[in-house]
Amino acid sequence: MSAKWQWILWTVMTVGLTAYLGISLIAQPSRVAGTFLPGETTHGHYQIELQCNECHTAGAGVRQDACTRCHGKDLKRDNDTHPRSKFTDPGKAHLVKRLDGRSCISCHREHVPERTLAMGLSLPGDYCWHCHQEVGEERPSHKGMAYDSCATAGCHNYHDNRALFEGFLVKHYGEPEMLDEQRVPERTLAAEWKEENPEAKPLTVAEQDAPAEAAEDAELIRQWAETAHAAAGVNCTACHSGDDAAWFDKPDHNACRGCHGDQVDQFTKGRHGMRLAVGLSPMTPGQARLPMHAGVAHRELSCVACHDSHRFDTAYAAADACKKCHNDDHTRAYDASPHAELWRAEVAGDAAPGTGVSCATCHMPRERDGDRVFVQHNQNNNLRPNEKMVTSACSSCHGLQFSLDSLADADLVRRNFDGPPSGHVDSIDMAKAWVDERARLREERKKKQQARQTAASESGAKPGA
Amino acid sequence: MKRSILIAGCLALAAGGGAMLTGCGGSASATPGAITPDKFADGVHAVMMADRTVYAKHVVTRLKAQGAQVKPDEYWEEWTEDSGDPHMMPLPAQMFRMGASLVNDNPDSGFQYGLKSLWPLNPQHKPTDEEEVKALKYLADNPGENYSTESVDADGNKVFVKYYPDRAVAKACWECHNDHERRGEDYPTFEKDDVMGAVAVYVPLD
Repeated sequence: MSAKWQWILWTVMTVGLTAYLGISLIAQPSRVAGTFLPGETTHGHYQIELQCNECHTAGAGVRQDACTRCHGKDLKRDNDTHPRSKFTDPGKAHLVKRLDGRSCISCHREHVPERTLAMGLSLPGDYCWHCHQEVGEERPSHKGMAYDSCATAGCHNYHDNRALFEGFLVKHYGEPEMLDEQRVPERTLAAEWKEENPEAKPLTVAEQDAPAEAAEDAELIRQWAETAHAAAGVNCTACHSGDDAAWFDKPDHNACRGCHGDQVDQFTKGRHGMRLAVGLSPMTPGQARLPMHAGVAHRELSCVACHDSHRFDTAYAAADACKKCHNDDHTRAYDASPHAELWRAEVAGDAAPGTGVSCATCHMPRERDGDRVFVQHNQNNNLRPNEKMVTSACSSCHGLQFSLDSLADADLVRRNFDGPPSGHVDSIDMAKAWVDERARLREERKKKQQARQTAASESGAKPGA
Repeated sequence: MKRSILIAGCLALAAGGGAMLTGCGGSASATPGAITPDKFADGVHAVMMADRTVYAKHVVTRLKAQGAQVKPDEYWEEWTEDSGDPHMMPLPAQMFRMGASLVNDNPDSGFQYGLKSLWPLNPQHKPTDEEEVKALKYLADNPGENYSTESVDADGNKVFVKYYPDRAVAKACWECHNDHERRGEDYPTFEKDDVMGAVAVYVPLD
């Protein structure tokens, strides 16, 4: 090849490569943008990995609010044991030098697959030890424990200790495996709606208000007439038309938002809906990293993917909808589990409402907010670490020891809780033993003090301190 | 209103950046007309103490006297409907720490504060260096006096620190500490007006 052609080839290749990389920088999100991914993204973020600016600044730095924008509210709700403010206390400056808890990325790094753990984040193994080295002296029971063993199931958690704090452990000491009452609280959404809309009357097929061409499918109208929507006076146009009253055939999650705002917000924070929150196309099972059934790869995950438009059968959404796509050991083992048996009995009307255990009972638990009881629609919210499930799900039916033991048994989780746990988590026993020992010492102190006071008053002297 | 005074104070501090500080029990001087770090610390400390007194006396004690279902508890935030008892409220000392957290985490507050003790029930609230031990001992040994010093924060910036004695003013304070399950065997027995710890006010100098 002549020098001239070599120069032309070089120029074309350089211009081409520059254009390709340049476009990949500005044309987000696209497959081209993936060129700049520095490493595999964690299983909690890969769905939105091509929306670089969700987490990064224009200069490829990490945004100040990259983590808290999505996780801040939950951390607050979880009573984060180590909030940023704990490290902005100047009196803790010496600890901040060891572990800078003011920033999430001190512990958690993204795009480092070689350091990412099963929970989907990177975490230094010795993070507790940096500030709590003295624990062995204060708690003799902790002496000799490995420096990286604090955050094992049932003991401690850096952020969320709602089911692990000492008083809670002691209060639930000695509980039976099965509590006397085994039932989840009743949802309050329908009652709230009735209270806020006293004028709303149940609707019948004859009262539907869809335009003629849309109402041709009588089956759809019949399905709607049987739903809670029709019972609550929610007609076709309530979902199928926007502010301008123009009809549209396929309402998206924003149509649901009008009445189910919290649920939509939660849904768009979980892995099913997080792409929608950043303006991407809906998640599909084809994009999942978990095993999914064949033939569902292109289903789009919106509200109606689980709630089945026009049926809106919450019983279907709570278990069958999940099984339609998910194809892992835990899901496949569900039908043969005692939980599923209870669920079938409830759905068949043979058992009281709230006594069955569907996928949603644990993964989309009914949560309280004052008098309200709502279904948490971020199904990833209590997944990791799995002790988060104790207060939101297990404790509706099971004692704390049984719950912690079960959640700590990875094989039992895989088999979908088909029997008793094989191990025993010591944290409740340890907390109880410690509290009992302190109570004994307290009694001893009181007795000594009383004896001193008695001796002082008998000798005529003033009672001392 | 309170916040705007604080911010005004901080701005004044920034203007008086050349403030000269003295050690133990001394006072700081600055550009005439500007609020010195020392004076600023005194002011915000007065507000903190007033707020806590109001909370302890007119909220906590009053609720107790009325036999209200809600009661102060160290684990007030952890106890919920789900975990067993939602009727808990923060102890006065916790209310104080919560305020400190909000201020310390607020980039606009311009100063920070906290509670320290030679005898903390939570070891995380121990003094962190020799100077702080010296300050806390000074307060315990010299009733009625404060202690001022200079330190550096986590990022290496210079700060003026003033320690104020935190006394056993309400019976609930010393009763709870004296009988607490986390107290060690060598823990002192507190009585009314004893110095139980210190309020530390940190004012940036850089």
